[in-house]
Amino acid sequence: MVLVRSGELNALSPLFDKYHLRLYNFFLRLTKNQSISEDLVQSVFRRILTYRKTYNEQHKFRSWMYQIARNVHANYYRDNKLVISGFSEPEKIEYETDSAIEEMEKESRKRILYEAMDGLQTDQKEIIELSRFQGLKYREIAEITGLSETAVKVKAHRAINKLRELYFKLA
Amino acid sequence: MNCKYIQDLLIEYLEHNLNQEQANEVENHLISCENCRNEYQLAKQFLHTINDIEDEQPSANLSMNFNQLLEEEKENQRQESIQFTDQKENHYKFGEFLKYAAAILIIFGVGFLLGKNSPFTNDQSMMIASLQSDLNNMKQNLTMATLKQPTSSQRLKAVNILEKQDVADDKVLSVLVQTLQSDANVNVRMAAANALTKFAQHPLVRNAYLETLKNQKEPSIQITLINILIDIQENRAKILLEEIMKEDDNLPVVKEMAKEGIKVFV
Repeated sequence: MVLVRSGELNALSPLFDKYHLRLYNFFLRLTKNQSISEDLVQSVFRRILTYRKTYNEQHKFRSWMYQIARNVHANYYRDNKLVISGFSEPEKIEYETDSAIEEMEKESRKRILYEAMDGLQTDQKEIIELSRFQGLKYREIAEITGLSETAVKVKAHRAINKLRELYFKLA
Repeated sequence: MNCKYIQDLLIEYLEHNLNQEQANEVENHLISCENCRNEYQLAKQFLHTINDIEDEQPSANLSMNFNQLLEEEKENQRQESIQFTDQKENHYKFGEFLKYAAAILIIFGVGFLLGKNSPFTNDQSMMIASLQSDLNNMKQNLTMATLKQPTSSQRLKAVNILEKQDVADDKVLSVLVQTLQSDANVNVRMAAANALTKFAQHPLVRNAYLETLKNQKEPSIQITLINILIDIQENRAKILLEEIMKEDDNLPVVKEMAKEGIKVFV
């Protein structure tokens, strides 16, 4: 990213390759919509380009990127509060083997989990997303959200237990 | 032992995030409480589900759009770098002026506050007046700096601002004169000529008109200048007008104007 900041724009390509999948799924779980998620990923990288001069190498690129991603999602959320998006499942390849049943079970567990996540508050959803699915450390989440590490820990603890509760209500 | 408290710790326990003391508490409780053992199994299953979530693949559009975005930005960057080398010097000067202007604004603001909080003395109002004039000066300097901007529309705007001033010192006049004589754009030169008519009684301006008429080859400027010189009754223009009539390069319409002008001066 330091290279990108100094004007070597091609250096952004490897960063895109590395992170776009995670970002896409980040947005996908929050918005439940594929094409919106693609747009939001695009917005993140557009902002990275626009604000490249403000990048501070004392922070990890990853933290900075998630900060931007959060803002992008917050803006989207603010502008589209009323839009209820239907979650259309992408086409899945059907397995003709024994694993088909297992696969179906896995799918249904996933669906329940996502449904349970809808029952969480936005900030709880976000913390689950960052700590669980994006695999970030509490310290890093603290940097991204501007909360203290302890606060993040407490929030994550409450969120995961709440999610567990909701999950078993639905299951 | 409180079951709710234990159940709250199960996930941390499963992920080995508890300290030894807490972990022991949980283990001891699980041995004795069947209800919490069930809860423990469920939590395990739940964690398994969460950790089992796989990333979905976005469509190919995403990468395509990104590459397009990158190309666009590279194009922007190229254009910026061209402009940057062009404007570097001017921007620097402009920035300097802004700095001074800001400093004076602050001083003025402080002066204003002081003046507000205590009864006006002659001294203070004089100070404020002098700050006010400093401020006006600064504005003027800023505008004059704008005359060095690369686009003609910006310069045109600056000329118009200077024109609105009732009193002009030599500095403003000389900047306008310089613009009249050497700006690259006809419209800006024309605007400068018109702006100067207000101060036509000033010898500096009169000389500038004569000087410019001698050098200008642009018909529209020549006509404007001839008209102005007739208006302000500048007799020295007569010789110049005669020269214009003699010169073959000049357009017939300009020569005609010059002829008319000479009659007026006779």
